[in-house]
Amino acid sequence: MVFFFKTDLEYSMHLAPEYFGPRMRTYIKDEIVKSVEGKCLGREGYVIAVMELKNEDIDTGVVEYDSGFVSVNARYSAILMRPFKNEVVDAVVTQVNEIGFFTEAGPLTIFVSRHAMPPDLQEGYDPDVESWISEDREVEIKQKCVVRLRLLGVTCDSQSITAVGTIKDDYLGLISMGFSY
Amino acid sequence: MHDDDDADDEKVCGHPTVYGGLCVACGRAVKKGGIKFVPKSAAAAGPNKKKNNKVEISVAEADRMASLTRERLDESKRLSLVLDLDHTLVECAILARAPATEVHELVVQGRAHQVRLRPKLGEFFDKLCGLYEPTIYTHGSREYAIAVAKLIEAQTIAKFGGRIVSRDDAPDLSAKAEKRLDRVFPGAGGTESSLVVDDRHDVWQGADLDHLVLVEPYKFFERRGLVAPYQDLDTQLAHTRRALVEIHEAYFKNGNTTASAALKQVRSRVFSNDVLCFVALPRDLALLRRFAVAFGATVEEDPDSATCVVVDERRRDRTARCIRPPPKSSASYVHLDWFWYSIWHLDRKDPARFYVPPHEIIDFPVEDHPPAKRIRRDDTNHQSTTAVVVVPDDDDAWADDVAAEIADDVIDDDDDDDDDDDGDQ
Repeated sequence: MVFFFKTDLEYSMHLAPEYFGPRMRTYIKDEIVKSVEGKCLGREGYVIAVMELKNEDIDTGVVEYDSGFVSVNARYSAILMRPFKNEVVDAVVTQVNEIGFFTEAGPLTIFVSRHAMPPDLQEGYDPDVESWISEDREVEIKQKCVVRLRLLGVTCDSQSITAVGTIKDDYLGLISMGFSY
Repeated sequence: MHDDDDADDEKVCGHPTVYGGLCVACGRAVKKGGIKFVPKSAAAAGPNKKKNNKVEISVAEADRMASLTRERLDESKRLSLVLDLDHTLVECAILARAPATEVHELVVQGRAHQVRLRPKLGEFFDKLCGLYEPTIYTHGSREYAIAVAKLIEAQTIAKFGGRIVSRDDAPDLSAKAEKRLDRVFPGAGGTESSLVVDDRHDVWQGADLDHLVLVEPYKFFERRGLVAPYQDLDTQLAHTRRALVEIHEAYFKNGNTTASAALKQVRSRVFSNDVLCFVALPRDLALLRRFAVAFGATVEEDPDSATCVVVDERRRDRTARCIRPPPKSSASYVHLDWFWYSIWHLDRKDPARFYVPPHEIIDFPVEDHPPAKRIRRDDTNHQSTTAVVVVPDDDDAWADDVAAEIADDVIDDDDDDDDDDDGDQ
């Protein structure tokens, strides 16, 4: 249900003189994987994994006149996760409080407010057990539950993606009580 | 206020809560400057505390939540209790120190923290959990606050239920070292049924001071090195517990009142029969006067018309020579500690215990320090030679009282006045 993409991306870096030598390309590759995987690239989404990074895709660097560093560009392909509005996602509840609950779907944090809950759940916060309980006490949403939600809105900035979701619709809501990693 | 069926219509959606710039009800980006929002700090930063992902709630929503909370508390006949952590409920040391008993090791952000719970913390929550709903409000980081809350929940019957506000949740806390009650309880009347227990009065401003139950700073690690063998004689929480029970009674007996009014009622009993005069206290004089008046005292400039003259031991040797001769009235000279302990314990202490003979004020040899009074002092600059003399079981009357106080407290938990010889009230 989550949208994943394979995309070609470019990475530019400054390489200190200490890394020049026969292992330089390996170092550059490691550095790209290390700094990019799990990160959010703004509108592109979250990088799940770097797929391909060939030696010939690492350009010849240019030595900077005043520092001795080399600036290098490299092209690579990666799998990205990019959430969209109205997408339906399964997410794990990570934190519950009186205004709603926070969930996580992979690297993405989604907030579900009490206003985005069905009417029988909206007033059902119990601070003693930190959970949202429906009027008929059939549904109890607490930490580590899995909920199916629809993304109401998504915004991106350079470091993160903010998403709010709703469980107020058919086939949305609690789908599993426990979830063990 | 908010109509569920029309949530998707921007004209109808009142944007009750905003998370990271998005309305949580309709999912649209909310422009700044339209509806007024208040930051909702209690547990609202989200699990990964990104700086921009703050939850804000509209004023209308804040009011709604405040009245809901009020209803819930009134139903169970409880009040909100905002608790500070460091030096109030626990003391924490980061540096590796000699292992001490009853110290809990916590690892927060990769650093080992030694946390010692204040004595009587278990009894404190045993008694108060039915009367108050505790919330943590600390200057520490969110991870630290959660770790300590977990420790307290494991060791006592306390349940914080996610009501934890740390400096990551409250911007004024990290920027200005300032605590504000409406950050914890936003909305109209949100603070009305809440009290604060903190060891620092300077972080609270204005009307919030009327909600503050001040306690003696708990500095176990600082003092442990000075006194050997160290025995933790801190009784503060037993006194605070007693006072909070009294305040709770006053609140629910009078029906329609506020927590600050109930606190005021209990406070003003402390020095109600005293006329105080502060001498040789150039620092913080305005503050002392304000506290004295808040706790029911009359403050006089002239020592002759006062019943108690409060002096500061630390200042005596320097300023003593400028002090006027003893007053003609029957006023007794007492140490400043008397004033603070009475405030910390919300109970008038016996001035005789803190008596400072007038001749000592005029001429003050250092070795004549009354040693027992020093054990609880929080100034660290005094000489260890005088402090080491202090062992709790010497025949000093004050130390005996403390021991009796502790024994009393262990045996009789419900004894409201565990200070037996304060016969003034």
